[in-house]
Amino acid sequence: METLLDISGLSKRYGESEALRNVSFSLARGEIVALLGANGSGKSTLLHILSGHEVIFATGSWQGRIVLDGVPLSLRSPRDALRAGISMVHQELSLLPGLSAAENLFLTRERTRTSLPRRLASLDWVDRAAQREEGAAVLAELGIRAGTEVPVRRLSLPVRHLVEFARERSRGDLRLLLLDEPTSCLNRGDSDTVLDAVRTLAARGTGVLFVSHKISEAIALADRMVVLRDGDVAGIFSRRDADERTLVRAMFGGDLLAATPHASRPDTEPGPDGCTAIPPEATPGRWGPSGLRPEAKAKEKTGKGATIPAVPAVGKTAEKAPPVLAFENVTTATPDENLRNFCLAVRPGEILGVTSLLGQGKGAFSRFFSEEHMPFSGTLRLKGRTVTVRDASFRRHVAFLSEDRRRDSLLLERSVLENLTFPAYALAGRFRRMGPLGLFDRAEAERYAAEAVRRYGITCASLRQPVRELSGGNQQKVAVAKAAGLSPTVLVVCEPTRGVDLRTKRALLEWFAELNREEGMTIVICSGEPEDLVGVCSRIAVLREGQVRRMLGRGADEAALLAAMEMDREADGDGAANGPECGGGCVGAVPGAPEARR
Amino acid sequence: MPFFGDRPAGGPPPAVSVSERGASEGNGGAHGGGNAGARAGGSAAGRAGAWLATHPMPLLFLVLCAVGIRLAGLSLPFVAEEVLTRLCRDTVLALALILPITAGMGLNFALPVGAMAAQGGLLIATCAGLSGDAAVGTALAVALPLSALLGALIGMVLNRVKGREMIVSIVIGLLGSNLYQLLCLGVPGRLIAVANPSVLLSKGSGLRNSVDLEFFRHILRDVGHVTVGGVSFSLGSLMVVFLFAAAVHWLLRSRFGLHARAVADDRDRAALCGIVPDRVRLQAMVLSTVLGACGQLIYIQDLSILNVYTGHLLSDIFAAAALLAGGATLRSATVGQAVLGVLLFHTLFVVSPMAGQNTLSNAAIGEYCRSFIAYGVIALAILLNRRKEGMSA
Amino acid sequence: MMRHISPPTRIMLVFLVVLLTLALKAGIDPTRLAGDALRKLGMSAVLVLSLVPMMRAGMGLNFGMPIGVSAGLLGMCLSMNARLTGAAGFAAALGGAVAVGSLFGYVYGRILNVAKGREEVAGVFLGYAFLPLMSVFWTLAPFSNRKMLYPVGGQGLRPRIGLDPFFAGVLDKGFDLTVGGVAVPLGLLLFAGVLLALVALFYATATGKTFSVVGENERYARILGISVEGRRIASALLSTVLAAVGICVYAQSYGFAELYESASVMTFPAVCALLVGGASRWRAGAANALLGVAIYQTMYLLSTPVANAYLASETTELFRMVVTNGVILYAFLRR
Repeated sequence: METLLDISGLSKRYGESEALRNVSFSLARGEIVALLGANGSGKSTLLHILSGHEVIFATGSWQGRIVLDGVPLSLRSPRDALRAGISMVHQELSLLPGLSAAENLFLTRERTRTSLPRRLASLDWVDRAAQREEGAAVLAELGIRAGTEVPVRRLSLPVRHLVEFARERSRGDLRLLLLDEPTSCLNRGDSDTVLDAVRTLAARGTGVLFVSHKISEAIALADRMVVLRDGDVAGIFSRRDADERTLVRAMFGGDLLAATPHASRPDTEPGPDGCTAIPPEATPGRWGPSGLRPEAKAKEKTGKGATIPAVPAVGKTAEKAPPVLAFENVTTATPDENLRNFCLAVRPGEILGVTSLLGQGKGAFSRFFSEEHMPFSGTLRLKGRTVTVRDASFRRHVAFLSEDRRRDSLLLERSVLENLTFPAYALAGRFRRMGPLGLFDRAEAERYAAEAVRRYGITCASLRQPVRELSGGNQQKVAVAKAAGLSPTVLVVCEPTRGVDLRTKRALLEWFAELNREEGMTIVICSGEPEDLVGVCSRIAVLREGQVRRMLGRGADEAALLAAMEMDREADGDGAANGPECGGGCVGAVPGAPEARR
Repeated sequence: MPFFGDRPAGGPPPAVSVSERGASEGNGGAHGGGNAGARAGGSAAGRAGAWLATHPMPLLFLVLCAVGIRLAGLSLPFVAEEVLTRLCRDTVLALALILPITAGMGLNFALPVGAMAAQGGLLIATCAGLSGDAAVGTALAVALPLSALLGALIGMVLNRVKGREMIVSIVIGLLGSNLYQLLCLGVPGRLIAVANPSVLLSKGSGLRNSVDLEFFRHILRDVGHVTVGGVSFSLGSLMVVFLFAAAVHWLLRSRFGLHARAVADDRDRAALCGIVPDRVRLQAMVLSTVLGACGQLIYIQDLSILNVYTGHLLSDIFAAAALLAGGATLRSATVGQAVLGVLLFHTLFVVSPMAGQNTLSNAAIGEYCRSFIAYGVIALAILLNRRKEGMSA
Repeated sequence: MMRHISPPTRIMLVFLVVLLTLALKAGIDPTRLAGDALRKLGMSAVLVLSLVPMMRAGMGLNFGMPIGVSAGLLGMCLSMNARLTGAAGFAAALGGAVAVGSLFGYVYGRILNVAKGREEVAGVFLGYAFLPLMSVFWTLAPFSNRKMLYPVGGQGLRPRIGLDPFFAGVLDKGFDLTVGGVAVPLGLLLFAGVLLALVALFYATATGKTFSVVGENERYARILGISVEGRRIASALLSTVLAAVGICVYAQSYGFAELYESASVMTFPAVCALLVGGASRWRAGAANALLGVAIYQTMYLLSTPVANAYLASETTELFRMVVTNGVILYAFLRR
């Protein structure tokens, strides 16, 4: 097969961090290639380069060579990419929400009643009737019979994904189709429709490059799999010689983050949480690269998704201490991703992990803390007392760090000193002089801040340096120090190691363990990255559709976690659509762009 | 009339999922609430009534107009004639605001800049001592390109302040006005000799406060002047207004209009689709300013007197208030809304002073009321304009 | 706090130096100039200061200042109608201004909470719409003091009420002082100075810092449990009350209370002054107000003699407006 796309030596830096490092591979005409990798491995960046996303060019462009059909490309804008025959189906969707499906389908390729010369082409009268008809036909090919005149925002998420897919594949000059998580928000039936359509496209000679976190799907669909890790190509596998285990190992590397031994008190085992909704599950101890325990091996199913055999809980029963934070049948009602009958009890002194696939609940969990006016039903209890997120007492006791630390957890223009001490000063009455006036006691604050900087290894030019200038890792350290400085009862952190270098990652996770060990602080880590959770958390709650569906114990490893996150897909079948967070979010945020990068 | 009106606020979108394969939303689907009733046939009056019921702003203005006409005690033919005159005079200025709204830039309060370009053209023709067709030709030849150029400049500035276009356009309008007035005071007769000294102030430099334009007087209004049932109006003027309205409507339904709506909807996503948002916005601004110049030319020919220093002031406010009175919002505006709004708003404008005089023996009160209504309508539109969040319902 | 001098400040300083040179060359008396400058500084300082609370709360520039100014005018009218004079009259005017301003400010703040992200445009039109309402009030309200009303034949209050019989000059002439030939209106400066100091002090306290953080990063504040809406309303209230007090200070110095349309004339100059003082979205404080007023009002003063000497006198006002609006536009572009 002749080569369609040839990438050689592709590199991209965001400021100081390298998103992609000397990536090279090629794609043949009619070939389907899957791009796999952990969060932050560079796969989204690669797609964005190929599609000409503006952030790429605005942050220093890329180095290397991209050759399509023998022609080297410069790809400075989405138009360049479209003209070259490359089009992309975005994870966050590029449909215009207020326009109708028909208008979206034909945007920039409108069907018009007049044909003015090229310079005046934008004055052509758009033929709505023709677009309606043709649009309905195009959508019908994918089995959609929804009205083409409805504003796209009123279509359900799976339909929107299909509309965008229909739009891209119907481009006459399409040579290379890029797909970013094409089926993450689709149920079984719709996924199959899309995958079939992809195969048909490929059969006609279009090259397809897609990013997916669903390893099983990648194996089923792709001819070859390119695995990225930390910006490098960790391996290129063909369908025959790849299985999930190999791929996972390539994605995460053989040396998993050394599990920090921690003693969370009390010694917690997963067990009944006080809510009847959750079936207790336990993993029978460590599954590691060293092999499986004999009795578990017999029950293990290899192939499409490892399943966790249900084994009766062993070990101590959970201590009867009342949960420090409890969610009882919490259901939120936002237009985006929601929690649904969410039950969770955070035990005092534990490190609890909360995770899910994109759009399945972890985002809702995070937003529950950060958005005050989220309508919800159910009960939230703090140390037994019913509270709402808006209560000042809640905020005193539950410190929250969202996944966007630059936006939510830091005052970027202010100094390290001010960031470290502000909450304690403004809200907890520290660092004050002149009694009732409450003026800032700079000397005492500086002492405290200097100690914090030393203790946590925050690298900064001085205490007066604006936090904006620190690296991502150091900013995160300041944010954590600030939150910990309030001595909260519970510390809830979301995506704590996003955009953070490897050393700081380890430091942060060890820091959490230390806080937990020495101060008995209860910590909840909400993250989509297995590395944040495995080996650190005593329990990991895996969410699906806004509910806790699995509770993993301390012994779970990456593979088990990934398997648990992907579970129930078969069970879902033709079930209802998932939360529109996947595909509904803000397009401007490029995963891989400075905020999110290490 | 297409209404891109209001969406139901909050709540999950009604699921039109693939699994409901049988169900069809039907084409021309449910745009905005409540149209179903209006569409259910019935007499024209019935449908108009139903339409009004779902469009509070025009309804409110209709009521106010009715009250005002009653209080003012003016005869209907008189009011009708006044209103038709103002329709011809002020519609194009209201039309000029439609495109920036469509492109997501809100109300173009820099419209006076276009008006100033028009006045500049007329003044240059007058100062040069021209008359007749030569004067008209010169005025147009200056005003239109100048307004296009200024529109481009304004567009470039507004592209740099995304999200704050309205307040910045206000400042641009004010600054432009000051500069224009400075030029009118400081240039003619002092820095540049004028062939026609009668336009100057008595001290010999700087333009007079108002200039009578012989060559421009009623050039449209006199075309096709007819009287029907005691009401006289100009077919020529109506024709011209109709042409402009048709042109704007065409623009809205063209590729440009679609791309403008896309840019207004979500700028980043529009860029991903291959549209260049800054260019679309710039074009919208240029068109708006040029239409503003045309509108001001029409206005002045009808008025036949040019108030040099104040003629352009408030043109943006009245145009905006009229457009909003017709039911437009900061997010969408149509030609029909502009026409309706001009009718309603300017009727109110005409009757207010007399209404005030008759009820409270104070015409000023009537004027205060109409000022309040004009600014209030705009303030209300700004307050009601809620920002959408991504793809939420 | 002003680590570097912001461009608007730099521009105005240069402009000021040019004007100063031209003015001195035109033979203007420096001591009189200094005295006038100090007086104008005192007159306008509180009005410019009134912009600070809303700016700090992230609500942008308060283009709705006419609302606060109207409150102040109402306070003064009530005091005059009660025929109070001198210090008592002024105190009553202030009391009325604060009371009415608090009410107006509270409502204004609640309305602005609806318009998050576009407070400035909303303020412009709320202010413009409010003035006709006040004009109706000035026309119809039953004021009885004939010195305030239109002379025979008109209805309602005069557009320009002379304050000499009431409390004109109460501050200016209280503590009169002459230093090196310069007439220093000490009472005025002290009053303004105290208010500036109080505002600066407020924002240095822990509570005040919570107000500032609401403007810097709303999400950050919310996550810490700080009530964003409440502080915004409080800031709008504070701004409105300060504007009300500010117009009282201005009017007693100027000698006239100007009603009807004139209530909106102060807004843009005050905004420009604050910007010239180096205020921005992240940093706005009493010090910016002080610096800005000093520079702006001096420019204002100098423009008259310079224009008279070198250009046509009618153009003075236009030049001032061009500079004012130009600086504001420039500041917007830089944000």
